[in-house]
Amino acid sequence: MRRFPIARFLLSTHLPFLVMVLAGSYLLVAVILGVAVLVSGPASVSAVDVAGQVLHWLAVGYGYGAPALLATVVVHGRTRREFVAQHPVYQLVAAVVLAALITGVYAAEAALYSAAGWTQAMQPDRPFAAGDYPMIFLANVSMLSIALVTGSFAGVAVYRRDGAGALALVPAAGLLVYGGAVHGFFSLPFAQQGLPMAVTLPAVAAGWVLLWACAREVPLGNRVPA
Amino acid sequence: MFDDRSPIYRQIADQIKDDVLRGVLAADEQVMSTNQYAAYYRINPATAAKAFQQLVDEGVIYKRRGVGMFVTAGAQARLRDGRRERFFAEVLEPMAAEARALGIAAADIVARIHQLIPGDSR
Amino acid sequence: MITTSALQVRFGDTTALHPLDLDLPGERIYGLLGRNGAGKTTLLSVLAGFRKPSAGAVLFDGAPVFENVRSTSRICLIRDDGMVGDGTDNLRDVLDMAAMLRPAFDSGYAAELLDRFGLTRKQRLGALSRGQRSAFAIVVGLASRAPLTMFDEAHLGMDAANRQLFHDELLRDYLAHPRTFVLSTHLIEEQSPLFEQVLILHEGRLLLQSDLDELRERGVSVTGPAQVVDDFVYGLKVLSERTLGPTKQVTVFGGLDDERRALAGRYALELGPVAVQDLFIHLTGGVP
Repeated sequence: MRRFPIARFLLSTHLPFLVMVLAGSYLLVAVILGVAVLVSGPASVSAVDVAGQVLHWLAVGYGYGAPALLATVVVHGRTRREFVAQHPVYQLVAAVVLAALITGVYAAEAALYSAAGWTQAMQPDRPFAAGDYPMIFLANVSMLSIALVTGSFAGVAVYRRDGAGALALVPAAGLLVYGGAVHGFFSLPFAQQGLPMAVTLPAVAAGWVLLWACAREVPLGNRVPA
Repeated sequence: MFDDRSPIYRQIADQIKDDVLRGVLAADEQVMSTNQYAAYYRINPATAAKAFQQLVDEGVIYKRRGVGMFVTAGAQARLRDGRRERFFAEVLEPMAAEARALGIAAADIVARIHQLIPGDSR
Repeated sequence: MITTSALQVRFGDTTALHPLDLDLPGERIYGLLGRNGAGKTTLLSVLAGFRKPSAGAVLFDGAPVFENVRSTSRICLIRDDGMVGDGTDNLRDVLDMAAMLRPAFDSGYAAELLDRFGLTRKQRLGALSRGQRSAFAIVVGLASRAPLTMFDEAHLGMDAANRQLFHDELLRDYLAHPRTFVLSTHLIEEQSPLFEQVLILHEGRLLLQSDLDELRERGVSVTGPAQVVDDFVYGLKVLSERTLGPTKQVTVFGGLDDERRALAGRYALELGPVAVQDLFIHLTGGVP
């Protein structure tokens, strides 16, 4: 048996799937942009950045599916401990890969806009300006990793359901607001300071500790959640 | 296959004994392995092994290490002697009791037996 | 192989398993019997590390089970819901996952079994019928080749032909790769020939652990005139009584010695065997 079977499984199956879904979604964004340009003339905001606002919630939703994964790996003879150690590693790798893809899409859009003579304006409160690719990448890594770990924690807490389940939504909401501020979804004082990883790492660590607290002894319910 | 009620290993042992008695399994012929028995009858191999152990204890079969189980020479004759001894007690006496209860005359029974086993009219 | 000491499971105020000491030596097929709510699923879940014991210990080859991957990766529990993956996964995904997560998983054997159960790799787990899902879970369970493999009513919804295929494959693979199986079941007459030993769980307690053949021999039915039967069974453990006019039939438990048998002959009482299922029903409180 090779090492880190859960992380290897997720990286070899889930990550390619997520990349495909994200790439497909951006093709859809391109089509919508084309229609919008035909109907109402030259684009004045970044379509990729507008669409980027839902990524946050998609990542939370995907993370929320963690208990199904947890239960499945336990059914196949792995431990919660392994899951809690290997799943966040996978999440960080996934956040980096997906953020790289997103950054590339921003760059492609910039090329298209400059060829067409359009303005690639960003949403207000973004910690990055058009063309600031290192910041675009870091902000998206930060947003994705916080949203994924927070979703996972909330999912496992609700799956576990012993009273603490619904209460978990309070720290989860706190982490999401914090993370949203970092990548420019909300305007909080520290949001624009230009150091997303410095505030992201404590948030991810907090999410991971909460996940560990909920998952480490969770009994499997009679049904694997769908 | 089995009547669910008496231990399965005893039923298997009885079947093998019947085969030996009727000559289906000849002396020194190899008997199917416990695993083959288990798979064929869909029973636990330990149950089949118990049947074989019983037959070894009774001297019906013997084990050749690493090869398998074989029918003991003379097993057929011994089984036949044993069954003959038990025939009157286990078959004839209950029949006689039943005949008495039903009021069937001994002569009628004897006549019928001559019909069923012809050529033996001592 | 697997032992428990003072193992206990509580859910809030209710006790699902009372302190339980169990010893299951390896390379045998065990049947776990019990009425609904007797604690079978709870016991199997805790043996597999799906749940932490409230008290006491579960040891697998001497090592704790819960959250110990050296143990859990060698234990496989297939539950009655048959969910061995996500409903959106197709069967190929689940088999690939099992192959990555399970050290001894045999993908070739899984493919062979899949064929024999008439399943294809492209089918979605969530789109299978109840019986197909059970069959697939059994494929995963057998191909896991886990030294301790447990099926908790895993045959649910399977038709008679597929159940027979399950039993044949279980025996075939057990003979080829000896390991320990535990099957919990309500299909007592159908599955009991597969067992070497049975465990009967009743109201969270182990009522009995016995070789199947010994259990069969311990149950005897005694039939005859009511008064004679009553005198004969005096002092024996009586499980049930039925009367039809002047005739009485009593099921006794514990077996009869030669002396008693001779006595029965003298009184012209009829002695008969008792089916395992009947013994089980009588031992667990009878028909309400």
